[in-house]
Amino acid sequence: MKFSALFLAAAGLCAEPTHRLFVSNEAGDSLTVIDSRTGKVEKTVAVGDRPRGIGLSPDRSRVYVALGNENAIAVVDTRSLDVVKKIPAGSDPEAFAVHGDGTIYLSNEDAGSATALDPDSGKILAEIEVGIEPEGVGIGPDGKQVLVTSESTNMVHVISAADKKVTANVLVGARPREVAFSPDGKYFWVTSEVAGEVAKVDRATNKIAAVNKRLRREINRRVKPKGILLSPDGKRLYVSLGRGNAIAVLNPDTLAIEAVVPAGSRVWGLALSRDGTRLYAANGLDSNLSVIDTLALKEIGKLPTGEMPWGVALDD
Amino acid sequence: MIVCCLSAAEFRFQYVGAEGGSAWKGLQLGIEEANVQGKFLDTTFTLAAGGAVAVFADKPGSIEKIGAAADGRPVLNLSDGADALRARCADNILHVIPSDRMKRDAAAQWKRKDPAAAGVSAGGWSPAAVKFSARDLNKRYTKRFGEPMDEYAWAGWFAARAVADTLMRNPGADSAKLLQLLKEDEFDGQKGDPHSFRKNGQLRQPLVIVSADGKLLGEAPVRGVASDLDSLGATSCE
Repeated sequence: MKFSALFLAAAGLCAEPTHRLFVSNEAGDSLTVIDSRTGKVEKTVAVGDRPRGIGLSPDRSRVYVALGNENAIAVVDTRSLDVVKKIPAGSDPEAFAVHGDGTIYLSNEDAGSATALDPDSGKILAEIEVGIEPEGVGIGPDGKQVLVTSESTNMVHVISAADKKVTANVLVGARPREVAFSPDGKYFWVTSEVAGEVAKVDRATNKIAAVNKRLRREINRRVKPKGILLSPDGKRLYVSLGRGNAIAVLNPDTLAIEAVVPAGSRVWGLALSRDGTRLYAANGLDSNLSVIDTLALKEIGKLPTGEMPWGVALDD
Repeated sequence: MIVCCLSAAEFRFQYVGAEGGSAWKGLQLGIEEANVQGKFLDTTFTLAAGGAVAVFADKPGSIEKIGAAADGRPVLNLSDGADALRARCADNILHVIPSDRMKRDAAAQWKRKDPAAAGVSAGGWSPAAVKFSARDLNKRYTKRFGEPMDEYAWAGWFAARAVADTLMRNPGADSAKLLQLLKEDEFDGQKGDPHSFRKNGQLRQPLVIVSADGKLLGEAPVRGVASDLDSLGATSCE
């Protein structure tokens, strides 16, 4: 067991991807596994109670799922689809990001803390005090900074990965949800759900460099920005709009709206294919995923999921 | 002298009313949570009468008197729903608690949708609310005080958080500037759409709809009947 994990880790990029889409279903207590090439559901895994945050290990041999009501992270083998183990992860884990060194940084929503967890040993490396209702987690490209948003405190906390301490705090629009870094690590973007805005923050100064507060006015009044991803070429930001039922495509520098792609009801979690041509978006109230062609900028299909899909991860 | 964002700041809030009621408890929780935010930016919020930037009032029937004595500082009304207060539009009074008319309008919207519904009422908050992170706020209040959160507690909590958040973003603001910013900004009430103050001082906000036996039925504006927060209550001075 240990050997095979090591072997896969060493094999790194040589490991053949499974091309599977993994979807956490918050109300379905399940993980939907879909072959991204055929669109067929391969399996529905009963993963545990209230699955939300989802992400792959650096070697892509494991998919991790945060189980809010079990205070644990489920570890699922991406090939066998077995639930290998559940790791205690502090109170009410919601969202997380996986560091290149394998450490999981996660937010504990009702404890006002972030936890650094080693998934191999199951050891909690640090508990970091942050604001109220911590949510989105992001890791800079060089692995030195971890960002955690706190929804009720309206902040992004910058945490040093080396000593696991908060080094800076940025006040942003009400109810910050998720973050995305630029490939050079100089900027990050953050969605604010209640403020209805997307901000670009300069990491050198920790100040807001640009903000778009017009999404609700220009798209529709139900817009609540949630998920955010940067395209692999760095030229587009994709933002899921919750009950705005669409994906906004923004210019990463000016944050101007370049396109609005209709999706399903209460669209949240996003995943992009490695080549950037396909965007997958979880429609929470429709129990499906929108498949979006990013060249044509339109939805080309829907894939069924379990009840209330929350997040998406793609192993390609 | 350089006055900058890095120096420690302290802001005082004045409370007028009887201590120990739910509005007062909500205000306590709001100040405690504001101090969680403040801790990261070296700012503290305390309850004190002297030198306060804003007044938080739980004194139905006396709000206008308190407003007149506040020397232009913002007065946040936590518990008086009287429509006449909104009609008279005192410049420095902000009504966090919904007006009586907002509640009547919300209940009427529900009855348009479900004419058979009897005895439904509307309010600013429900301890059974879960959507839009209402569940999280209910949990925090119950953990702190061992009792369910009611609409007065919500009003106290909201008022403290909104004032503190505004000051945090504008640390140099005096009470006149604070009043202006409160009237311009939007706030998170942990019940969905952003909340903001109308020209008549009333906080624009979604309401909860509750059955005769106290069960949470839904929210207003009632979907399919109305969508605009301004469908609830008067929006201007008479």
